[in-house]
Amino acid sequence: MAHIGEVIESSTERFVAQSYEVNSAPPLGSLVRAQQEGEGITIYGVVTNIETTPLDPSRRPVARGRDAASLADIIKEHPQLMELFRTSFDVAVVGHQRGEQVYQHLPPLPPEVHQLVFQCSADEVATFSHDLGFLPLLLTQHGGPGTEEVLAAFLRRAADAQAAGGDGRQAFLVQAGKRLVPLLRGESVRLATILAKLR
Amino acid sequence: MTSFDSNAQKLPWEEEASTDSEDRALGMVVDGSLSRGLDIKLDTDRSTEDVKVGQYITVQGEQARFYCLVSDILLKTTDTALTSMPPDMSDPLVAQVLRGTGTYGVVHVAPTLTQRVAGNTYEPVKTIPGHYAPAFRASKEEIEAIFGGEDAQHLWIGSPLDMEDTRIRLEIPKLIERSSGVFGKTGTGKTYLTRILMAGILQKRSAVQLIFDMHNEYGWRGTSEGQWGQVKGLKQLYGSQVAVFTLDEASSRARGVSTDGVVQIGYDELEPEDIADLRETLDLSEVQAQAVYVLEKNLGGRSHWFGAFIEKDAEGLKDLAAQTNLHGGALEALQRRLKYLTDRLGFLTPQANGGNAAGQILDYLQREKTVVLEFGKYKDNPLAQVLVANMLSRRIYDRWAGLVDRALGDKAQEPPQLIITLEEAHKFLNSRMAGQTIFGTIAREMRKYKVTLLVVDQRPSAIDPEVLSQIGTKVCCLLDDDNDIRAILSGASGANELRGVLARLESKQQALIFGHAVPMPVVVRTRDYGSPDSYKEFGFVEESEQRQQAERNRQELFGR
Repeated sequence: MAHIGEVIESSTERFVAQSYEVNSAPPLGSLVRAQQEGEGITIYGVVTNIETTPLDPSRRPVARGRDAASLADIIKEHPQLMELFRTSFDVAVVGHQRGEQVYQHLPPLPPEVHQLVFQCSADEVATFSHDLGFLPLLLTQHGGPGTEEVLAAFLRRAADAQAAGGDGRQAFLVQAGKRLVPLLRGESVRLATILAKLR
Repeated sequence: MTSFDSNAQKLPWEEEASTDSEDRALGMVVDGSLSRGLDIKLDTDRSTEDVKVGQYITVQGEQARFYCLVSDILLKTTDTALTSMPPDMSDPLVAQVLRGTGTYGVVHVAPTLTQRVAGNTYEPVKTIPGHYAPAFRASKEEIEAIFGGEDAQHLWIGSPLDMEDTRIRLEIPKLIERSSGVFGKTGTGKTYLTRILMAGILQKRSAVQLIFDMHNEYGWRGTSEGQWGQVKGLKQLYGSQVAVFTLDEASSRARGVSTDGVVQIGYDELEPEDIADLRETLDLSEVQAQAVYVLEKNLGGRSHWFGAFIEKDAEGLKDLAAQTNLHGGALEALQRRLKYLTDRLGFLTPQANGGNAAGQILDYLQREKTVVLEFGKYKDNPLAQVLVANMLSRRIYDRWAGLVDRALGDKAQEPPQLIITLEEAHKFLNSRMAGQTIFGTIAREMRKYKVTLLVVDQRPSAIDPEVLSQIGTKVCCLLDDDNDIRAILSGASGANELRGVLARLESKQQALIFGHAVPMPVVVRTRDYGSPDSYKEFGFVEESEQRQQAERNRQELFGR
């Protein structure tokens, strides 16, 4: 599978990657991976945020489509526009893989900057989410608003990946939900919010 | 990247419990104390409805296995918000997720017995398993190992809850060496259970029984509230091992009972103690009760006084009063009461036909024949019950004590172990009478003379606590009066846990058994009595089958 972007900001807990195409990014809650060549490991992360911003922050874009019928018309009229923006996405690190072994904890080093970023296949998602040990990392690391959204989006995708070979979707979601209950002790409203988004 | 084939690899949440012990796994110990009992948190896939009060649970400790009785079942949540703001349980995902995690079941159990891993012996509980020891529903094998196998020493009484194919057995030597009791409010199956105990003891030939059959239930035929309506009595099942005596020949004949003897009591057989025992029932004053002993001295001794006294006219009484220094009025009142007695009780006659019935019954017992004494029309007559039961029992006491003393420890010379079955026991063993009547003495000290009681009663609280405390094995059907429950459980270990079990018994065919003859308390669904199969289990052989067997035997012996 071809890479979709590269790392432009890196830390052990999270990194930012820029997409090669404007307005194109792996969906929220999807699993991506990048190498850490020094350690020889693959780092896994979940997309927590996607944004498209002007290359020059001092120049604010202006609306151009008064006479256009659609976005395609605008781009046809102003082909240079797409070159003035970039799309980047934030990734929360949820684990890594050394050799065959998948670890559901933080890697010793973050991915190098400019490291290539790949979107994981359904099989890779299934393998990674086989163990639910990543849940605490995802809950605590990316602690901002929207955690519930990201978590629920990832679990839905993981459930679909798990169910590819059978009818284990509901079973997987129940199992994940049960793991969340002790993690969200005393936060029953938050728990209910996440569970409601798993449907 | 590992290759991932979701078909080949079983996911942890898709794996099914396969082995038997996994099927029986319930949860793990999370809290508890030796005195209070253990709390077992149910596994997430177990519902509280999988467990019932009175069931057996085994907990596997490190050095021993603990056998426990479920005494309470609780609902818990990890978060108080879950109780005050219930989540949306209409969503199946939410319901499934919270079950066993945010909300979970706890089973409170009373540890009753331990089995050391080394040695395989059973001991009373002296310690408790550690945190997170796994708990299981007890298996058939475990239960049957505890309660003993099918042999001459064990009496099958029923099955534990929800384990119909498992048999609970009482240890007969322990059952008969101390008094036992069958309790329960009316209509809960006391008679049914008593009949099973009696038949079992007869079948195993472990003791001879004297049964005061106040309601004509045990001898030839009895009634049962189950589908069978009428059930066979002991005489039908065990023929020559059982003799039926009656106080009321007409009633027995009307019911089609063939009796071995009719009990008539001659005036000459009435001893002063027999009348003194009736003090409470006849409402005699202290003076009157004492007077009978004076009368015995003055009116010709033990075999003459009663007849002589009751025949006296007014003049004769006056002379007697002068002669004995007894108050004339008191004597008159006493005579009036004794005449009332002879009027009411038809089996009291100046001269008994067929000799001394009491002696005859004792001879039967000594020859190891079980005797059922039917009361016929006297079934609701406390005078008849108290008089006859006390008379016979006192004579048994005298004879058995004499025989045991004379045997000087030679087992062959000793009389057979005897069980006296006493229905409506509170009439004989209440606090006012237990001190005076022979039954109090038997309950307290006759164990060494090989006589014990089988007490059947619906108001255990009315029985003298001292007597109740001597009862070794207690079989309790449903009781719902607090006083009765307290009386039954006083002194029992784990009384608090048993209380909950006792109050929740079903009103039919269920009983809690605890005490001497069982290693640990047990709730049983009683075995069947009344169906043709059940009779076979009790060793009954139909006449046609007997004939066939005889024919087979003949052919085997002599050829065609």
